Amino acid sequence: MSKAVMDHKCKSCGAELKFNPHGQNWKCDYCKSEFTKQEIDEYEASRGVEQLDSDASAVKVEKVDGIDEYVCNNCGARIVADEHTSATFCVYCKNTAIIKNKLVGEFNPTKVIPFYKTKDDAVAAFKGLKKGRPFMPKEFSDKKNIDEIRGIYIPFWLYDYQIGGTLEARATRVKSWTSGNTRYTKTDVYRCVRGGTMRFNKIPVDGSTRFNNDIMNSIEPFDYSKLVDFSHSYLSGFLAEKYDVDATQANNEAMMRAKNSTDDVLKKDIKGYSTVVRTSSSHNIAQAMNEYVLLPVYMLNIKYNNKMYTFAMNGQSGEIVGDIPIDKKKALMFFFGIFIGTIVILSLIWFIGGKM
Amino acid sequence: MKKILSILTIFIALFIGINTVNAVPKVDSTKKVYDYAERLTDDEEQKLKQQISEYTEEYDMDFVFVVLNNYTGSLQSYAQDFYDYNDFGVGKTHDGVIIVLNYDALGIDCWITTTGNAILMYDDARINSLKQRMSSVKNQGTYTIFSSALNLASSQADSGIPSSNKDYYIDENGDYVRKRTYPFMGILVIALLAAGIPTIVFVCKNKMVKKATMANEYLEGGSVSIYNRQDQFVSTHTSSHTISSSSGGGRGGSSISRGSSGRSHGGGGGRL
Repeated sequence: MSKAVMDHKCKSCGAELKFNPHGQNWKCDYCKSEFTKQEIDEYEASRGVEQLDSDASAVKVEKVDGIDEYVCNNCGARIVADEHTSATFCVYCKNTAIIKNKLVGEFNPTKVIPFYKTKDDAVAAFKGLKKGRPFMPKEFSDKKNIDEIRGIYIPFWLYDYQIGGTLEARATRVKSWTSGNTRYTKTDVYRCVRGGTMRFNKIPVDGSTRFNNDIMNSIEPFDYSKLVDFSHSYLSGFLAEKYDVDATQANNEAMMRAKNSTDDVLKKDIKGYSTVVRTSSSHNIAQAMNEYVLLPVYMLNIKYNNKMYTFAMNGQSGEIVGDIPIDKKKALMFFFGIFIGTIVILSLIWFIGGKM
Repeated sequence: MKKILSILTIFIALFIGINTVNAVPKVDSTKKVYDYAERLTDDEEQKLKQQISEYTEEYDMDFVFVVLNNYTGSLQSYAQDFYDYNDFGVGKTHDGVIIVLNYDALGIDCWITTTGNAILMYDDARINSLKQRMSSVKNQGTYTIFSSALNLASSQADSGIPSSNKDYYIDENGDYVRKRTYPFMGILVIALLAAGIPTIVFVCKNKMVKKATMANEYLEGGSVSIYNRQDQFVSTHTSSHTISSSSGGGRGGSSISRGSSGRSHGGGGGRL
């Protein structure tokens, strides 16, 4: 009988293999052996192991108050996860628990960009935020807090649009000259119209309400040339979410961005004027396509003054964002230190200057 | 440093002034009225001396009248040298005023020289008023010219130091110097900018999240096709405004020159 698994075993020592972002392969944490996907597939085929989409490395046993409870296939411990979690960790054996039935059917992503940055890269990037930010509270450089950084595959909708737009603008040409002691300003007003078509590819929209859209937008762009066909194998070692914002809902946000950019392109085509002000625009979406993918993001939440601050790092490019709160005490000390110091130095210069 | 410069200036001025001093007679400085043109009677001289005495008592400043006949040199230099080398003036800074009238074929030439605190008391505007007053009574005789000048000088002194000289003082060397007022507002503004700008920069650096409203980076290269370009002229209008040339504005304070003795003097003059 064939055995269905979610995680891959090391052919050298039998331990769990985890995805290795730097090598874009799978690595055994115990014997340090590394394998390509092809090697793993060949090894598992030779052992009669079948990769099934209907099974999971954690089996759901109970649902209480919206919280699903699973049993870890590795050690038998109980794992709790909410309805949106599709991959998590067993807190006892640290085994990746991929809840497979969360990523099936309509929730099955077509593509994934694997992680290219490791957790160590993310920790180093976060530590690097301290540089040039003297008002960062000390809680944000606390190693214990930073170590909580986690790699998560975030569900994204990618939209392609073939869009036609017409933009009407009021433009002016201003010319000034002086004759005698009079300054003349001549303003010519024009009505400009531009119509055009263009294509946008893979505008991303965060498909999970659990993550702040602005933060997700801020870590863009992702290099889509690295998109690969989705396989659960890429989830090993990371957390994963499934979408709870459907394609129609997310479409509005992507379309708004596409329309704004269409206007921007058309407006930029109006050249040779002193000012150009858009008066109206209309758009025609000729073709729209969407794709459901998982994109790699490192997330970190730090609580400060009873408020949670979220940071995100693009798991592919390393771009890190998040609003860092201001340590008011540090900021006030900095301000008044310079303020009083400047007054003292300038006063001394003034008094010494008067005595010379 | 300033003291050394002043001493050096006085030394150089003394050296250069040796040849010019000889034009000035050595006189009894208590007399106060010196009529080399025989324009005043003894009685008028006495009356003027009495008025000067009262003036000096009241305002702690000296006052000297000199009348010349057909003097061809610089009246300003004469007035300064006459005052300085005959040791007129009250106090260490030689506070006082000298008015020199020179009668010649064209009429009356006049020079008023101020020294020490009189430089502060009689700014250019007041010197001009004195000259105008003397000019208005020039046909009434030398005594009336001097007497009315002294009266006006007294009433001007009653008004105190004019506002144009509020920011100046006479230092221990008798020089007319601008007061050094602590630039509180200037320092406050610089300190606010010096502290505020880096604080704002660092605060802004902590805010990294931006709302995405555009999708320009997802625009497919070469996919843009503009099929409609219309630019229609709608209207034109021309506005104009007159460029105001900045008028320099009145200059307050006192005009200063240095006499051959090295002392600073204010004053002014011209033909009455």
